[in-house]
Amino acid sequence: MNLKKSFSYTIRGVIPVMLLLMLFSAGDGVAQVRFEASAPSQVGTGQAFRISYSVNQEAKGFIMPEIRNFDVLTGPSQSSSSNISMINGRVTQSVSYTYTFVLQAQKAGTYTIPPASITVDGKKYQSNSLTIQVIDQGGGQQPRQQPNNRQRNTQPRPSGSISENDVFLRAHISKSDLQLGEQAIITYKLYTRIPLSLQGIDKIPANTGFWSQDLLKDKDKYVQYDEVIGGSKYMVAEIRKVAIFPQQTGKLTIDPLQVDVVAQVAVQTKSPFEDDPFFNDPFFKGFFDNSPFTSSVQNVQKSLKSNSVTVSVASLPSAGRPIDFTGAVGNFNLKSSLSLNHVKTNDAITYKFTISGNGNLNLIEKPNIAFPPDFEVYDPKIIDNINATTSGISGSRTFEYLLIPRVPGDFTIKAVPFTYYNLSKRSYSTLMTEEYSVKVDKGDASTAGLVTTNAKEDIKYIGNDIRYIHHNINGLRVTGTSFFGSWLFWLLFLLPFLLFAVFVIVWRKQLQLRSNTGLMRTRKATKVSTARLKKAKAFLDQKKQEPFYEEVSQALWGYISDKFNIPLSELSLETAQESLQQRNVDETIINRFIENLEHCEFARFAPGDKEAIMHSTYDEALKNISETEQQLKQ
Amino acid sequence: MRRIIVTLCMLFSVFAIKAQSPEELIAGGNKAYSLGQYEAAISLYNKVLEKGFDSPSLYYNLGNAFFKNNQIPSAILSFEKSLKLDPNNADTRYNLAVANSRITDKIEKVPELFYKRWWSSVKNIFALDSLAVLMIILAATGLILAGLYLAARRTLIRRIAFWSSSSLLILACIITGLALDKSKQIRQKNEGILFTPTVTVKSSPDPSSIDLFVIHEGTKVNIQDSIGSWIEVKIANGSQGWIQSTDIRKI
Repeated sequence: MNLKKSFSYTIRGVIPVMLLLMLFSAGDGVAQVRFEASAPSQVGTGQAFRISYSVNQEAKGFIMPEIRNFDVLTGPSQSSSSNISMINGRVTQSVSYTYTFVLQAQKAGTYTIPPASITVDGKKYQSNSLTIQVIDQGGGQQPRQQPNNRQRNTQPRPSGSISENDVFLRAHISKSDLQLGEQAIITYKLYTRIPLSLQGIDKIPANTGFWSQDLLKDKDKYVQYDEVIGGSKYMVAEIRKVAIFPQQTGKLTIDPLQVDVVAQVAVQTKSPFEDDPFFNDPFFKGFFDNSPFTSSVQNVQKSLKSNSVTVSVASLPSAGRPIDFTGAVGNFNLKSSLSLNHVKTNDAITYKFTISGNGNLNLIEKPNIAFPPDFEVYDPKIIDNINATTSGISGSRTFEYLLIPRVPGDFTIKAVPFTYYNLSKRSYSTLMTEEYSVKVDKGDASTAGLVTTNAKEDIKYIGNDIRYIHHNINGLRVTGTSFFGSWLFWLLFLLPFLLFAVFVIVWRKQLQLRSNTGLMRTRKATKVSTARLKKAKAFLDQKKQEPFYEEVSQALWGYISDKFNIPLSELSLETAQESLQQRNVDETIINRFIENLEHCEFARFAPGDKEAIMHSTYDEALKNISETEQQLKQ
Repeated sequence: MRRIIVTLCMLFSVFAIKAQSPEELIAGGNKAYSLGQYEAAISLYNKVLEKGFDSPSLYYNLGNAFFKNNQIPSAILSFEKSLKLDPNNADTRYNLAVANSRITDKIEKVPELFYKRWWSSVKNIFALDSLAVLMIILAATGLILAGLYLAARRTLIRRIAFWSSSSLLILACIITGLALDKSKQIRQKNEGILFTPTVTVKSSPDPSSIDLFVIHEGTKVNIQDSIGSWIEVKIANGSQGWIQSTDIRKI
């Protein structure tokens, strides 16, 4: 009962301090990880005190320090707090995790508790180590009796005449071959043949390497029954029952439990109540031990020690261990629920992830759920409904997430796996939650509240992977060959040069040829026309009018054509006049030349000219050609 | 049970037995890749290479399969080979960058001289064969315009033809230079990827010489010189030293 009092005292004392600690760590921003240990610097022997490790970030894998020279009364117990503040629409969140132990000093002296370590975001952090000075408070071996106000403890007592067989304490374990994380129950039974009263538990075993939980809630009412051992009938009381979950492998020993009892030894006179069955109850008899009726009964104090229990802990099989296994061992069921699946933006949804069953529920860490990135997700609220009954620990642990969709659309909350070691199947099992689809409509601007949605968001990158393979492979070729350097390439590359060279050569030749013929014709122009005129003279003598005019006109046209390199087809009076003018021939000569030509053309088709006109035409033509020739030579 | 066997047989036939032509082998490899059987994909792609065929996409797919199979140096080698054939492929560049982020060595690259950088960036825009086609087109158009210059009578046409033809021909000369440089680079194989997990770079080609620095698998090196089984390598930050030629595989 004293024990209980000091327990509740410590716990009551812990909570405000813890809250204070959390507030400090919450205000400190997110960037820096602080992992701190705190403890009183001075304690007295037998005094229960608290040490706590707090970290200001979401953390995993707390590894407790090796605590020597102290008894661990409870712990580690984990608590977390989160602080969400909204300032001008900006939501900042800070969390803090605290692991608390309650210790009791054994001996006076100065002791150091080595640092604990914890993992935050994959990095290991170490706390400071603690130095604690323990002062002897004179309580000696039985510190727990200090606040006892009962008179009888201070009285000197005759040393007991109680044999080992009359009263003894035994520890029973439900199972001694365990697997890591498997639950076992230790029951401490007090066997007695004589009236007895329990003074209090003197020494609670440290249970190093275990996580343990007390299963007896009501410490005043012990389960009692009779048992026959070795022919003697014993009264049995289960004074302590603990569920243990091994956290280490190998052979582990649980230290004995020590209790103080006061036994009543009858001296001479027989108690008048001896035959009354009610008062025969050894546990109630103690109540009357100071009454005048039992003056014939002597109180004898005795310290009892249980046997120590050894368990062997096997590690969980490494074969087939899923990657997402985090240490849950037992028999579990998984349930999930979503409060709404059709909401408007900025409306809150709750998602619940509940694990129920029996096993190390307290050690189940929060699941790694991939919510849609457009959802604002707050740290889950952990709701424990854990029953510590005499048959062990069972119940449920619920992680309740608050989700706020910020963007409209259709989203899927994927199925979440939960992996644990199934003790009944002796293998790893994975349970899956349901998959939920959430439809988010655009909410009213007025309900958006503090959130200003016009701020553009950066794209959130969720993963990093290579791009997918190319499905169409084109350009497959024989290794090492390329178009560059192939004969086809050189052919196509050099062909234009070759063609160009051929073109240039041909072009040159033709140009030369053309200029040569032109020159010849110009040179021969006078000769040809003179020959024509000679022929015309012969026709004139024969008085053949028609051929005469034909020859004269041929001579004149031919002269122009040859001289100016104009094809006959393009020849006309205009072109003739033009080309003569171009060569700066005298205007009067040009006019005469044209007149001469016109006359010939006319006379060719209208015969009947007089001989004198024919003569003058002939002279005129001769004169025109020679004069033009002269002019061109100048 | 029977159905499983049948399915297995079918899968096997798809991946291994039936595939004969390079195209079929590649299709089999792609299928194996899509089913997550990366080792099968690697062996099928490699079979195509053994048959004496390659293509930038084939090296790219092979690199992807190596990457997924966690063979990062091989993946880098394949991506580099793919880029050598098709230097401007965005997918390959991206995947190479991802693969390079998984290797141990983080080497600060020494910036090159600006004209060298320009030259190599221009060189990297086109694949060798594209340069070859470009050479042909530029030379042919340039020469046609030169012909027009000679043949045309009108002064304006002649003037335009002259300038465009000469600029095209100059461009053709530059492209020819690029193509020759690139083809030399491809043929030379003076780059390699480190395949030995840890290599100590020596100051001279002698095991007893001074250790200069340590590089790890997946790092790209430039081969400067070789004596016997030793090669002199240069890494991206400009450090140089000697290692065994068996430590690397050439790109």
